[in-house]
Amino acid sequence: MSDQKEKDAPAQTKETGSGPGRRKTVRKGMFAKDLKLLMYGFGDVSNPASDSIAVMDDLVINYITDMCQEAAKVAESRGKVRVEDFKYVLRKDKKKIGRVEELLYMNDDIRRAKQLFDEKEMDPADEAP
Amino acid sequence: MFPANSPPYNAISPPPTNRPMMTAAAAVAALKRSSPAQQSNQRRQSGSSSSSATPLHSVSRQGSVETERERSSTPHPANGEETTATNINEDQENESSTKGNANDPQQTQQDAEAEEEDENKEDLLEADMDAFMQAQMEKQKEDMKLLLENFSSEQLQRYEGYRRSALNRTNVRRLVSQVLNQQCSQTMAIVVAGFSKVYVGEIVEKAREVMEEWGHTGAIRPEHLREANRRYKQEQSAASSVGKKLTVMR
Repeated sequence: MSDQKEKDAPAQTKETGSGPGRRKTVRKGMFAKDLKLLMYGFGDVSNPASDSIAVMDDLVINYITDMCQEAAKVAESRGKVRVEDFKYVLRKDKKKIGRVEELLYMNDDIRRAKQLFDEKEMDPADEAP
Repeated sequence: MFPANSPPYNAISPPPTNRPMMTAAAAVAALKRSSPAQQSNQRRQSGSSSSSATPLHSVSRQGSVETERERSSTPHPANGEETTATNINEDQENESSTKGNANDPQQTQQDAEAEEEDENKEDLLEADMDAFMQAQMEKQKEDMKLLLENFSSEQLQRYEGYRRSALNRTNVRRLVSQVLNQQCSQTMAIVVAGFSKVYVGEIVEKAREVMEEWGHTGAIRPEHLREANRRYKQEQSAASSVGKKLTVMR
């Protein structure tokens, strides 16, 4: 675990390597850019304070980590974690579970629309003289 | 054809207006002055499926859709009647309507329900879910249009920021993969990013409340966020200890 801190030289996540040799670091400041706009959207001033952004970044990373661990607890017997496990963990929180269902629904919707679109593309090509 | 009202679960087919919906709907409802009758309908319907006692016409400033999770309760018999746009729904409807034709309208509603319920319950529910979600989204879009017309330019900017911003999916994916020690799928990253955004919103809102309480103005400071987080954690543990005896207020 201490290896992570030692390799933590740049603040930006620039390496996108894959495979067993890649650095598995969770950089701090991961979501800084996105959180700026996000916090403004939810009620902060148009330029949120940078230390607030850093705190929020920490909170979000901790939150995601906690949720993933809860989901892993739920899926312990099964081994692999699935989306349903997250839905179970969020069962008490109406806003979040509603958002998750909306996202999944829209995801399916888009997929269906794409399939339909692809089919339509194919048909005229077949029928063309 | 089955009549629209089907006891014992729902007296009314899912009316889009009565669900605990996003802020926009709440705001538009305030604009239109929704009647208290809607709230009581909503309570009746949400009583069977979700455990909430309070109708969540939440006046929070977030815009999250809360769907009525009816899987546990509604055997909605309006199988052939709902017209939906998606293919999957049509398939399910064909399936359930062919079975519906086998049961003549002369057969009593209870027999039909008993037979069909077990076989088609999931299909019906899915068709209903989709149809219902579509209806709900339609209503939502209308509400949002109305609301957006009345926004000031500053509000419009903020709304745009709210809609467009999201957590970077790649980073989320990386983080989740690392925590779970497994490969994180696209869908899972979408889901996690989605509810994390809601979390950010809740914290920021709470931080604003804290600021008001403490009489601060301007930008949100870390201490507000920390206090907001503390309260959030408290509420979470309070919500989960509903069944236990709380000896706090003695």
